[in-house]
Amino acid sequence: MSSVLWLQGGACSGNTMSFLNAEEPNVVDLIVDFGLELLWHPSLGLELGENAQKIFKDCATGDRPLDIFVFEGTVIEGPDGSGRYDMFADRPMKDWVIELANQASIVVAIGDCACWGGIPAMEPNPSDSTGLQFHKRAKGGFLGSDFKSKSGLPVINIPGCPSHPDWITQILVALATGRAGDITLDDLHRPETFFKTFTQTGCTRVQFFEYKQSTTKFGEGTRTGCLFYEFGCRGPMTHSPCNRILWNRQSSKTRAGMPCLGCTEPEFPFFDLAKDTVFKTQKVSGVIPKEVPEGADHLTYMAHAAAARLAAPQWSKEDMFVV
Amino acid sequence: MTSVDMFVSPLGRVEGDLDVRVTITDGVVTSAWTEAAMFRGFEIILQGKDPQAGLIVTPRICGICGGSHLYKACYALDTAWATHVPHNATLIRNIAQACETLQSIPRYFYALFAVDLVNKNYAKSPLYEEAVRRFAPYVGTAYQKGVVLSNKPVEVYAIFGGQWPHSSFMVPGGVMSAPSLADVTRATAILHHWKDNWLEKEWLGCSIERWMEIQSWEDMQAWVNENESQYNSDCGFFIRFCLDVGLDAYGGGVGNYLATGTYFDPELYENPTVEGRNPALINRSGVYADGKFSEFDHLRVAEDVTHSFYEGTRPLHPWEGETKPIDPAVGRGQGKYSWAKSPRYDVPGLGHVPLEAGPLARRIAAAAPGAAEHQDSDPLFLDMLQKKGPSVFVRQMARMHEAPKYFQWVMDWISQLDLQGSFYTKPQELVSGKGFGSTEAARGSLSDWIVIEDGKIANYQVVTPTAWNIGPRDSQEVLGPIEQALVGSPIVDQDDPVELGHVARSFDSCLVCTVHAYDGKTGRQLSKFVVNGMV
Amino acid sequence: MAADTQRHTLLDDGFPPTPCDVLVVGCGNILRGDDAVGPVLIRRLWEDGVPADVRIVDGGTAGMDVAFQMRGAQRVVVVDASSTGASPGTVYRVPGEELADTGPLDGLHTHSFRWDHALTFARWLLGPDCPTDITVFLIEVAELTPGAELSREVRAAMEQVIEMIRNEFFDGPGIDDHVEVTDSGHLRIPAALAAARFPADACGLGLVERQSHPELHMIPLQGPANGGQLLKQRNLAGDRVILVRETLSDDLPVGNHRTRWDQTLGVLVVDLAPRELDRDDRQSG
Repeated sequence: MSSVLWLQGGACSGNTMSFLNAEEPNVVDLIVDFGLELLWHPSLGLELGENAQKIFKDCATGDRPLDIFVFEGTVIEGPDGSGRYDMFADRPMKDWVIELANQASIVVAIGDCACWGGIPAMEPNPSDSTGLQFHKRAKGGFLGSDFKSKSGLPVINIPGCPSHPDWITQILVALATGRAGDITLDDLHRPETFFKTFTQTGCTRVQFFEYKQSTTKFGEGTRTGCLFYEFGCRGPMTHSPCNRILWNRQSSKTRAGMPCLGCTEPEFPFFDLAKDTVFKTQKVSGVIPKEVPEGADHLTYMAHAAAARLAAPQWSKEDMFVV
Repeated sequence: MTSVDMFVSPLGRVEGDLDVRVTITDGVVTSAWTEAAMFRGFEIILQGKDPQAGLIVTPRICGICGGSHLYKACYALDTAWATHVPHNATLIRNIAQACETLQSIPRYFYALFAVDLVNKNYAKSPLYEEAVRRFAPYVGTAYQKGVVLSNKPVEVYAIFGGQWPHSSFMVPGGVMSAPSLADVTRATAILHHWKDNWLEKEWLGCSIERWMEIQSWEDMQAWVNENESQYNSDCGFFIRFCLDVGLDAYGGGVGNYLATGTYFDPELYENPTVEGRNPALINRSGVYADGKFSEFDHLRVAEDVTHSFYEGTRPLHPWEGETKPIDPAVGRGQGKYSWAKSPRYDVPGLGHVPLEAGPLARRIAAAAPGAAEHQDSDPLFLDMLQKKGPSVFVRQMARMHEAPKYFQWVMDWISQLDLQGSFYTKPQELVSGKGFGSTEAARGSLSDWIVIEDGKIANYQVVTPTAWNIGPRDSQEVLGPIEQALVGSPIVDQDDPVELGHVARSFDSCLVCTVHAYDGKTGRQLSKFVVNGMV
Repeated sequence: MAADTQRHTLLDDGFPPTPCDVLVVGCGNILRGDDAVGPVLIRRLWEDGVPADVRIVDGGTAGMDVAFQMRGAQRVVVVDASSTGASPGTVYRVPGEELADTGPLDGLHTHSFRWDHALTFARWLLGPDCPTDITVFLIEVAELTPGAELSREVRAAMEQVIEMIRNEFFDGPGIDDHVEVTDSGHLRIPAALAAARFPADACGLGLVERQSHPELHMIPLQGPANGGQLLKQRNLAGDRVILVRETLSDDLPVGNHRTRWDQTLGVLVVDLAPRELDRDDRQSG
């Protein structure tokens, strides 16, 4: 029986909603079959008022053993470091976070907000939001880069906006079945199982990428082409399994014609959504994408691009995802 | 006379950070204060950004009805940029929006609301054991089916939008996707699976068509007793249980309602405009106050911050809106107690009064006379309102009634799709303009007002349904809808005030929706816009 | 044999050998009448199916290759023909102790590798990694005419040996090697089968159309960096699940399906022929 306490800071509940979509195992399975003891959760928790507060206090003081502390949403430090922009059970949420993080065996940050600060931390960051152990790509965040939970692990980051239910459930399953030691983390503390490959891995448009054939418009225009060249798709630069583990069992952004926004990376939303950056590929000289796939360099890229376009077969210029 | 101040925090399971303070005198709530306890600053963040940034940021205001945020943010841009939206795109948007609501209904009902029906305070009811068997969290038979199957409608969302939650596939001028026949076939199959295994089998115990025959409170009561299957379905049981334990006797609220409507007739909203919005709606907008219907006019909306942690007290229309947060510790000394602003609507002849948003509000708007042919006209809940008065029970029935209704509409919209046709018309990205977009999220009216200048967002205000419902007292000290609904609630057990939970949760608030972006830390002034009449 | 050389470590190329509980090797020349009994027995096991933790190898006249195949096996069963002058069809089972000394290494000739040569060489090659639990069955031949079918006595003896192997080495029902396709488009894999065939919890998928029915090929991958599907843990028992709806299309072959391990391709083959459900344990999605 692993005890789990799940709290929300500056959150939108998107990760919780995604989590509720889980299948094989679903949320009921996790609790009934895997024996996850959900001490409390903002949506699924059963206690109210003082009864709930007692659970938090007991976990915070260590009177009640806490195996896994899950946090969704940013840690809000405003105004002026007091944390009073986010009050919970009569105290700033950030005070709860410090105590619970120090008592738990394992701490998990779910979603971009808890991992790196996410959207609330965008300029000008009015609430003084930050992630549990990172602020964007910089190590530190709220708990500091040296923080380790009682098991000796740093905060485990499961990013995404939102996270996919399988990323959440498979990590909880691993932790609940004593396989914490099997989880290898990358340098952003993300489980490598999910975050080694790219959004582009398994994307159905990848042949168009090879031949540099761009989609030219949305709607029916997405029946052909790759979204990287014109529509700001970050698939080749983003670490995620979105095209290998489908969303809602059905699809993914890029399959449905929507460019990848890079939401598992700390810089999301990219370019701070400044003017002319949304759904538009940023280019040098109006032609060459500013960012090229990880591992490539601009010069090689340009050479390949020219060759690819020349070599492009006829099919790559026609609709492929047909009615 | 005993008077006890109970500060019940956290209320839990009402998404976000809603805190409630009530005054109880002799076992009855005599006054209430709702407090939104969190601030994230979205409206400030959007300032100066790309006009399309709202499509990415507003769905993250709330992950539960993120699709609803996307829908109305998109329409706000469509009206500001005067776009052309092909019929197919309108249909896809309608389908997606409705699917999000269809997911929300059972998920909210079983996981958030019905779990309280097993509270030991109801142990004396002859129906208690049955309630436990069905609704107990995780192990209840109805709980399991309802919650696990609730993700089916959003699989359909993902077919058209790539993923749920947090897709941004609706864009001004249409949608990003163009489905294939296989997509449509699969979407249809998934929805039928949901209907066959939950909606008709578990919830209704009858066909959708049979349920839709109900037009009055008497009809509904007769339906319950009509046969075994209906009597014992989750719906039939729920009706009997509510009447037995008295959930139809409290939680009424203000009795005045606001709906901004949603779902557009594809032919009537090909070129979206603010003025042309009301007549194009399928789910009508409307205001019902003091027993009278009136047309919804967005210019009559204003936000009041007398009791909210912001500077200023004069109610402002969102196109003028400003947000300057203050330290809550300072604010409390000024009689301020919440992060939510108080939206108020200027009802002709009545002035600024609080209005309830939500499924009950829409069901009332649907009963207004004068519906056009393409518009929903449904007398059921006006009848229930007049015969039983508002209550937790009536509010919940209004919510559940939308499941079969929207299901029928979604199947119809899918059948209208022309797969060979267009799904997107590239818009001209005008460098300035004003827009208004609105929808009915599962929990009520959700609206965006956008002002674009110099190719960037100059002002962006979002008014959520929770803001309408939990906004605190205004400058006239009139209680907000939830506050009013709590007053008069009988509290049987002060240590376990489950009645407070029923009332607050019957509003299906999601507090995360209500607190937004503000300036403050840097002392930067927000630009002000003077509205010269209508734009 | 020099005991201090580390030959076996040269075999270590970073990829662990496929583990198996039982390895059955059939040796012999298939063109020489009853000398074919070893390979024919293997062919029979292949057709009838073996549990997931069992590997079968047609040693044929490969000789030396047999030793390499033994790498990663827990227990080894060798079947070969013998010509000792006993009556045809006699079955010998060589006890373990007798196998301890299978003769000197010199005198090995690639073209006349017998089972005892294989064992000697294996010990030399694999050193400490050589399996210690080895059983050898020998079947006495009737005749060795090139091109002849198996004689009646040898065929009967072969059936006997198959029976013995199944009873003694394939423990009862063994690892459940059935997978289940659900109507939600998932493929469920029992824990032991997943652990045996997909130790890195990652696989690629391919749909192959055969004449009679399609097969789903599940290709074990080395790790998450190679793309492919991730095998998710779906319950406390450790059973795994992947989404196959995309690969199989919407006409899903719902129900239980048999699998077999294809040695040559290195894939787990799921037989998608429509079949009667042999267990009433379908669970709703």
